[in-house]
Amino acid sequence: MIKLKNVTKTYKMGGEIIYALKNVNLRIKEGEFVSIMGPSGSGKSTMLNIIGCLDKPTEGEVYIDNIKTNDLDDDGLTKIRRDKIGFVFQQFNLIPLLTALENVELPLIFKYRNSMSEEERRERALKCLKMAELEERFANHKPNQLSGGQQQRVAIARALANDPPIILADEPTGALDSKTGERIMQLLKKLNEEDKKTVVVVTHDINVARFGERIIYLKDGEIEKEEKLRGFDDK
Amino acid sequence: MYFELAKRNLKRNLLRSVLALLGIIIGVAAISSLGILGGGLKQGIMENLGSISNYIIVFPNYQNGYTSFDKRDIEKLRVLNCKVIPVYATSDFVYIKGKNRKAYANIFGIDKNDIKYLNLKVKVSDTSVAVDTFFSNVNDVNVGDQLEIKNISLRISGIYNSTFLFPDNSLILTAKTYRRFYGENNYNYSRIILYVKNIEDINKIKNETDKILNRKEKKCIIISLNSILEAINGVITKVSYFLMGIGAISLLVAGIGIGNVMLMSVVERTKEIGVMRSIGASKRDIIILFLYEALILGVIGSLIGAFLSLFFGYLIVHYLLKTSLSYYAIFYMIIGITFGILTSLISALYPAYKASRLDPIKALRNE
Repeated sequence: MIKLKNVTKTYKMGGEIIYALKNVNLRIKEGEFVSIMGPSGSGKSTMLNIIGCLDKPTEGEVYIDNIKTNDLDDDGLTKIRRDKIGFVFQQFNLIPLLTALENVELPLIFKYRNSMSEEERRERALKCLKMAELEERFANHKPNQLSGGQQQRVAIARALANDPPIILADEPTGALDSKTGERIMQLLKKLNEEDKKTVVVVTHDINVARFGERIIYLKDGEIEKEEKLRGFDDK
Repeated sequence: MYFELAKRNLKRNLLRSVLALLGIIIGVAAISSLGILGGGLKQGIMENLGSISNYIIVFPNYQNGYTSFDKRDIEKLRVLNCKVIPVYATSDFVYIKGKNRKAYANIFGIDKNDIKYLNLKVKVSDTSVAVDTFFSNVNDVNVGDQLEIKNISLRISGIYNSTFLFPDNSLILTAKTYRRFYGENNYNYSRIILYVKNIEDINKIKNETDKILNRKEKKCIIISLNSILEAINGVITKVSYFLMGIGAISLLVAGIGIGNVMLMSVVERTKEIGVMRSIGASKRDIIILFLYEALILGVIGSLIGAFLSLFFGYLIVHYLLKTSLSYYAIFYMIIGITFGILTSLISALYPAYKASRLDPIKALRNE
């Protein structure tokens, strides 16, 4: 589902070349739940951005759902983000002017524009909110009327809107208390197990990382080690 | 939803949006009402002069010794595609019966059937006379009063506005009455008026008249007002475009205001833009979102501005120019609206482009 082949990412800073990622090879299979751990500056965010098609590697190849993304232009990358990937952020990043339901509708609008009827769009958004286990009565609340946990559920529902095979979560519990965080992780696990989503979580919290079947440890832009927590038989 | 989102974004910074709107309103109102002022000026002049632009006046060339046209001259002109109206002219004392005094006036004689072509809106019979407003005012006479020429009473049957066809202080008799006073066998006309139905034919008929009458030597002088009118119209058009240009400056300033508001908005919403990009918004989507905001400002501002211009235009035209507002006002309102909307969109282009070019990663990191 996700393949990084000899991926290197460098930045120039004051004439000095900094390696964010150094010759990384990674394969994530369909339906897998993988955690990426590492201290800040280890390159885990860069890795997530490259997988999420927000960034391009300096060297190496990236495949998402068997599509080589290196060759894609901005529009091509946008389509991959829209159709193949659902992003979940630490700060939820909901659009404050839109209600919970409208936030979930947004990716549908970007994809279908006017070719999807308003009713169908609402229906699909409501279904996603249900999948993210947000009570329907909150659907017309604005983000600032919702708790952190509820906002993250809306964000997850938004990530599910276009039914992407991959969910990328960047510190999804970072802004939540541990109890709420755990529930959010359980939700991601449920989406992985029941809805067969491939889930990649970036975190520096080992308790969060343990929800994954496999933990990849990054250090100084390189994969330091891998830890297999549960048997992942090629589903 | 784009529209809805744009609307809410504008509401979020309501004061800022209203100020940007105000700029557009003032700009559009300025352009449209100055345009209406120009249109009103033009209409006023057309009302005063327009009715005579269909006429050509042929005078005898006094410098070459010609003082009148005879029947043969008139007959020659009948081949032209226009109405040939021979005109007698003299000046004489007129006795004003009710006031018991005399007045000196320019007296014209025109065939009864030809008078209707002169657009004077008066009727003259063989026992009546029409006077112009100047004569009527100076001598304090009105329709129904009696005048006497050579001891014969004539009733004033109408009052017409003086135009270039007839000088001030004039009165019009029928040709028959005129001959009664100034010679039964007098067929020497002191001028010929040619009524041309289509203004476009004026120059052609002028040339043909010249060929017919001035073949051997310059026997007559041919005058028409259409060229003068065209020149006046041209000047007014230029002046009104110039005025509208001044109005456009305020619209330009409004455009800069909108651009500024949009740029601020882009900076404030950097993170939101990053989020939208990461969940599948294309560059085009971002551009559309910002253009929608500008479009809303442009449409609302332009409509209010155009409506105001109608109000100001009415004041100007009604009280300053003393004519009436007519369809041309709609034309200038449409021009104002078009420019208002275009200005809004154009000034939002750069901010929208800038927003679409934001690097999603950097935008997401922005707080």
